[in-house]
Amino acid sequence: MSVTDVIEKALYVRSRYQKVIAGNIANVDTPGYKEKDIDFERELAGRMKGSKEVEVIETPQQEGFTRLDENTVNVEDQVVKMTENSLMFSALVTAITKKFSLMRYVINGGR
Amino acid sequence: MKSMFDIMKISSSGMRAQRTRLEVVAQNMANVHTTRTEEGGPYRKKDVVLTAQDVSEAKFSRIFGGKVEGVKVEDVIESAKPFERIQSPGHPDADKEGYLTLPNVNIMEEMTDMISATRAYEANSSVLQTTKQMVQKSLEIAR
Repeated sequence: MSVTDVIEKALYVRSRYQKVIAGNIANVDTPGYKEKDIDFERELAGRMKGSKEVEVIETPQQEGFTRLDENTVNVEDQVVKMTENSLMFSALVTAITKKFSLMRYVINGGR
Repeated sequence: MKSMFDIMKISSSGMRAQRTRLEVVAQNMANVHTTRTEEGGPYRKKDVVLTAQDVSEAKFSRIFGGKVEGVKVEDVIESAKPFERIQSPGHPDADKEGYLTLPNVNIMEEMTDMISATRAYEANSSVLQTTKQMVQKSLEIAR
């Protein structure tokens, strides 16, 4: 499996992760909504094996306290995760761009 | 690319829901002293009912088994809280004993609702912003 393949799959999982986070933040006031999450490493490993499924993990209970409307979304957590996710996404894009520029360098015969 | 726009749809559904909440708060606040309505009697406080609902396109949501959702304003209901009664003889809507029935709107409650809706709106808009940055960044691939 080439570097390009790995990065492409990681980008795929990162973009899905962003969707999970967006869903959580959109539902911050929906009664009974349970916070959702995906395990990035496991999903990436699954992608490598060619699996198409993404396993969504639900948080049945918030740590510390329970809200009266039984919603388990922790906004602060989600914002942190979102920031991390977008930074990692950026890093992946930078990595794949570097890989391509290396290829271009070789194609041009080191010029 | 489509998947990224689906994420934006989720955020926009969240922003729409929060804006509706703000609209309802504005309506409640404006009618805090309304003693006459078309249905008769004083104004009744309105509340929004939110539900999680899949807003993305079919192919993408199948991957998640339809588990990742946006939000939808299911309904705007009238609050069943009791009305407030004050002594105000002479008011055209006061009863025989001089009691005036006021709407069941509590300004303090509306204020906290307003702040919570504003913050939630901001959270959704920052997700939208981040998603946009990710899309822009991905356009830089192989530049």
